[in-house]
Amino acid sequence: MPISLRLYHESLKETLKDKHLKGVLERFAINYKANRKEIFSSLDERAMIEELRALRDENLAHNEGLYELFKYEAEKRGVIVHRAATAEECRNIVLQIAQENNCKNIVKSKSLTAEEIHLNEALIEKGLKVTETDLGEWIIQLRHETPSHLVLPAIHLSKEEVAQTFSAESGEKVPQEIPKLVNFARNTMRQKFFEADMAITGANFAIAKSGTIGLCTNEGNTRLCTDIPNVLVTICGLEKLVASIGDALKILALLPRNATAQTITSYVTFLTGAVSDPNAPNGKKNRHVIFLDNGRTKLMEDKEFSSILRCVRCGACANVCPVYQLVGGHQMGHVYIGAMGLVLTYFYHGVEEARHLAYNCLGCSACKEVCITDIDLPELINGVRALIQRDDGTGLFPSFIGQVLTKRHVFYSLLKLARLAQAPFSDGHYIRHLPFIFSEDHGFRAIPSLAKPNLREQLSTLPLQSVEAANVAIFAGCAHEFVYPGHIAAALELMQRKNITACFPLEQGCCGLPASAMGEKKAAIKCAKHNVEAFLESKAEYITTLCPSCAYQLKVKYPEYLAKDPYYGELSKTFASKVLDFASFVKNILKLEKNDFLPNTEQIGYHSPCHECHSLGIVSEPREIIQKAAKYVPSDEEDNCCGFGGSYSVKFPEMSAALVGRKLKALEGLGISSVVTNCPGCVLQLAGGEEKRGRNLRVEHLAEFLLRLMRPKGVEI
Amino acid sequence: MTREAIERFKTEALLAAIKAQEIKNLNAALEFALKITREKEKSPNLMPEVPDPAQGKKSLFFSGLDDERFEHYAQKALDEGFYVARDKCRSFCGGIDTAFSFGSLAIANGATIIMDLLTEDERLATMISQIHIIAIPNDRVVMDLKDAEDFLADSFARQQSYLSFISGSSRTSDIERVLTIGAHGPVELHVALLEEI
Repeated sequence: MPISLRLYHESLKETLKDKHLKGVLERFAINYKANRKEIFSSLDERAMIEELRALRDENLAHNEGLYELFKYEAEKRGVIVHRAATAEECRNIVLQIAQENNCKNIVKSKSLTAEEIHLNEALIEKGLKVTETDLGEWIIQLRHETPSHLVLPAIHLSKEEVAQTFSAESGEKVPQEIPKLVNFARNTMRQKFFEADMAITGANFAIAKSGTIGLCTNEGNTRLCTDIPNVLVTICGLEKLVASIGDALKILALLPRNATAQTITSYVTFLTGAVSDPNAPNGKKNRHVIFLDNGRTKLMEDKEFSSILRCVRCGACANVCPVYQLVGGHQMGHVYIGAMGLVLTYFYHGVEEARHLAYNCLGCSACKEVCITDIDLPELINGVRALIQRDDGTGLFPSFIGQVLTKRHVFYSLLKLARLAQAPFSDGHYIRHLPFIFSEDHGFRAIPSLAKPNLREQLSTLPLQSVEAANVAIFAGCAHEFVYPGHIAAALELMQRKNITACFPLEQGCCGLPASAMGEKKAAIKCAKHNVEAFLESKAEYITTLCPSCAYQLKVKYPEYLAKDPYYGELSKTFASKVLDFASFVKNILKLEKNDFLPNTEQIGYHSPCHECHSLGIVSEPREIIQKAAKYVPSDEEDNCCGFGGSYSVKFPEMSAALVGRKLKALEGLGISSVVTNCPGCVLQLAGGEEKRGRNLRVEHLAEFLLRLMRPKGVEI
Repeated sequence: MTREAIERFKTEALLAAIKAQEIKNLNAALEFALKITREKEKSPNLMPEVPDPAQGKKSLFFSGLDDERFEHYAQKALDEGFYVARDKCRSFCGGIDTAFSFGSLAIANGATIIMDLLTEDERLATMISQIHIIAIPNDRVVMDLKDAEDFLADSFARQQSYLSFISGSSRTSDIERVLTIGAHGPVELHVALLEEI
């Protein structure tokens, strides 16, 4: 049932108070990350992902042909193949099979696709007894809840709650020990399997060449579902079709590794044809496979969104999502959970269910980094936001902002006006009294005042060369131009000391990433063209920026957005090839070494900005640099989002507060004098959070930190 | 290559809590099945309202044995006081103590046994037994999943096929993410890699 935005916020706040959920999700996130790293350590992960992406694209391109082939091969082997255009049609087919075969008791496994069409409700309404046989699914079925994770559907519940549920089911007190709870389920379920006259399963893959269905489980419930009842119905999304066993094995090589960090699940079952059943008059199982469309074929034709159908339902996008780690799947999905759920909810369950969910994403790209079919999930979520704005007619404001971002002079004039307006609230560093447009929820961090002078107002005092002469061109980004110009000044000083000349192309404007995040792709493309043009005159070998979000937009998104543009296509590629994130720039161009720094005993923590580690894959560089300047102290949560996420922290202040709180807590007790980061947004969030907590951990941009400890010219050690 | 694959299988089996060992031949593997059954506790009857064919005795189910061997080992099992069967597995719905069956191919990476389960008896025995022992000639061990592709394609080309990859005991982490063995199927999985066929 869709809820209002106010209720959604209330629900988020309530969930944030759930200590059990917080603890279990945090432990899960930490263990998953470590186990995943280990299981992929001996493999060429990127090569495997690229291969799987190509394979999924190939399969999806030939989906209709694969369906025809599957149908032919499966029916040749005695399986009845159906195709359901809608959820309702699929439910009716299942009901009809149950009625025709006089089935009364149904056992189910791998039920996600059945959840998509809300099948259980329809079956129960017709008087059929339905039992989910996956332990987690059964628990939530008994509690009339929905799954909160794709592979761990009851992860939100404690053993005490499960014991209570089982006691209510059995009428006897069931002990709270987990092995005893599992044993209770084993005993109860055994009877359900042997009573069942029909089984309904999902599918991990449908192999067209032989009409084979493949299923992966750890518990073995799918084995018993496919072993015992005579009537066996498989509900399979059309996108699960693959050409051959070779294709299925390629999915199998990655799916369990990414889902649960296992090489393979305990059971993988492949069913071909109407397999034997000694209890049936004809000696065979009554097998049906229903291919569910429910919008999939339309989605396959959609150039912008078809990549979501590559998804093989591993659930990793939820496992690594900082928002999911705080509030779980009930707040982070409808039926489908995590980043892929934010996209699929719009297409399978409509705008009403997707409206608030689609915005509850930081855009941190942690999901994109672990996706084994290489889906650009943040980009698709941005796209869904645009669709929601179109459907709701609420696109006016984002469109206005998008337009402003593309017009540098207008944007900068507005920011100067804002600087005047902030005067009564500002103490020169922070805005001390939040204006009325902010609620009390936004008071979790201090907000810095807009800088006076801003970057452009102090350019004449900075060590800059002409665009024709400089080795390096600086791309500043909005936060550095208006909030933290000191970071740029520090970087320029570093360059000067290492005899690197820098220029600042004056026509540069916003990188366009905020427009992308609002679903304003056209405005983002306009920003891309503007900036490519702005840097044309520069003869610099490199373009560097002190904001990794800008670096990602410039280096990755520009050539992607402009790939087909006859004029900007090649130009954007050349532009992108010059872009270096600041950490790489310091390491590879400035080449700072240990003797560039003053002797010191400082211990330094690091916060890894999302676009730096997840999107650009820059991990070792900043840490190596810090280690040269001082002593780098690793900490938990380093690569977890600080909760800024641009406008996210304004839209979801309760989430942003929880994320920065967790981040700052992880830095306590490390004995560090500073936490260094490499992004102005992260500095804003961490310093603002720390200021509000009244603590005194220094938060520094990498450039400021390096300059502070750098040995001045002429000073010998 | 086979020796390397066997060693890898044994290493990976340890990680998956599979008890894998090289055993001289099939007779030795069957002796091992008797020993395991002898040493184990009688498994609980999960469906007490259904008559138990074993009537309280420990039960041993053999799949895929030739008649002569079955007769021989059935007699040995009976002498030890076990109940022995090789068909009508559904009547043991409350559970079997030990099931002995044959694997078709073993994959070293992931410690996976591929089982070609043609009949319901074979399928059920591998799931409703408390301890499952799989015997497989050690020259049937290959290194990777992709090495199984031809075998799988041949199997799928048949009119009917039910292939099960088994890579450990039945397990769940659905309650508080605590790994617990024996969700639905066997709680112990043994693999006997036969040195002689």
